[in-house]
Amino acid sequence: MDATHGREDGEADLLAAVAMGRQSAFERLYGLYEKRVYQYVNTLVYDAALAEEIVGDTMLAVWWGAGTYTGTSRVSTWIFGIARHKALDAIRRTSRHRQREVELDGAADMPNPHDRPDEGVLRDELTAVTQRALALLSREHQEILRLVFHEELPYEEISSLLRIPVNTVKTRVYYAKQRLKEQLERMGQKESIP
Amino acid sequence: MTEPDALPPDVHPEAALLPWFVNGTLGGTERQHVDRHLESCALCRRELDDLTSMKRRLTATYDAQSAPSTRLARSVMAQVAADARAARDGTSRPSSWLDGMDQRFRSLFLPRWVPTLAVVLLIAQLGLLLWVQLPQPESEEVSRRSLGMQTEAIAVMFQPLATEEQIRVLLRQVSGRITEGPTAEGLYTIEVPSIGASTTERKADVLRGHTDIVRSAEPVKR
Repeated sequence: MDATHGREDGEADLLAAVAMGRQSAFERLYGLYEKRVYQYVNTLVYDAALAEEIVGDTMLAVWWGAGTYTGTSRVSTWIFGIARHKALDAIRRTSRHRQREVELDGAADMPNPHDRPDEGVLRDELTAVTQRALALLSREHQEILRLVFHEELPYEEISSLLRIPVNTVKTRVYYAKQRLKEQLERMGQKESIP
Repeated sequence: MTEPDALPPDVHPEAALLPWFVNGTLGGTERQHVDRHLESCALCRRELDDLTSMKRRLTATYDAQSAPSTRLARSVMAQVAADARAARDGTSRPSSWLDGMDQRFRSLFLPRWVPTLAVVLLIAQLGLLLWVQLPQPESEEVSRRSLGMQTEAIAVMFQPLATEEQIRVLLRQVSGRITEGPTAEGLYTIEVPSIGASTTERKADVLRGHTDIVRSAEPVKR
């Protein structure tokens, strides 16, 4: 049994209660996912206002469609799948997204898309540097690092969510980690969190 | 993004499994296999250390990232509450957005008196048409066709997530009605009964006070 297995069981129960129309269950599920889905979507669309809109649509889709969850994937994979579909749809619709394949030389000065003037103060320098290094990665690399290290999804679930072969998932994580490490080294922040 | 679809030749296949060894989701057999490999491979042990510290670093970074505004939660919960109320009132719970809209529309026709009301309205309309076509006696007085009360206009922009029900309730509060819109910028013109500029400004203030429904509200100078 993996570390997140128990949490997933609890979430499946919550979703079952949502399917029966229980608002309190939805409120709990919303509390668990709002920030995570928002940050994940922001990784895809680079637009805080649009990300909020997509989170709202996603969570309402969860409320209305909880009964269609079959249990073949984790609840988190299912919810992130809805959010991803809506985000990619929004990107196509609004054409706001620009491919973030940036040249590495001279890219270190680029602004961090997650920074906001009123919320841009990060807790410490290490976090701020990691944030900037992440922002220099491609959308695909940022996305997969978040799914593995923050959402703690198994590779099979990531394969199903991103609709790519399992082998591609493994190699993509490997190269994403390499790119991040390179960026951190370029920024002189090689040391790890104690 | 251009990257090879295979690991570099000098990287052990077990190294590709290490991210899931670290996030704790590797299955039993694979986990045992990686465990055994790590006992004899210093290179992969170093890679594991790298990944472990990277996970800690990323977690701290993701935790520090911003959260959505509290307005979003309020708006979603309001829609869910409205939906739950509709379900309690007898309509079954919709399985999708389209189904929801469909059921709300159908629910308007559920009461038995609705067909009767429709027939009465049709007869009334017919009567009105006949009355309009009758020759009217000439009048020397100029009649006013307005409601007899002075009205003012307010240009309003609603929040994208505001529901029709919320807007309807708010308009009722200021005795207003939408007369035009939306414009390309999303502006609606709302007509409100008014006895002066201060009344209109007060009503605009009421609208502005509902920040979850109204983004902006400005009286229109005529």
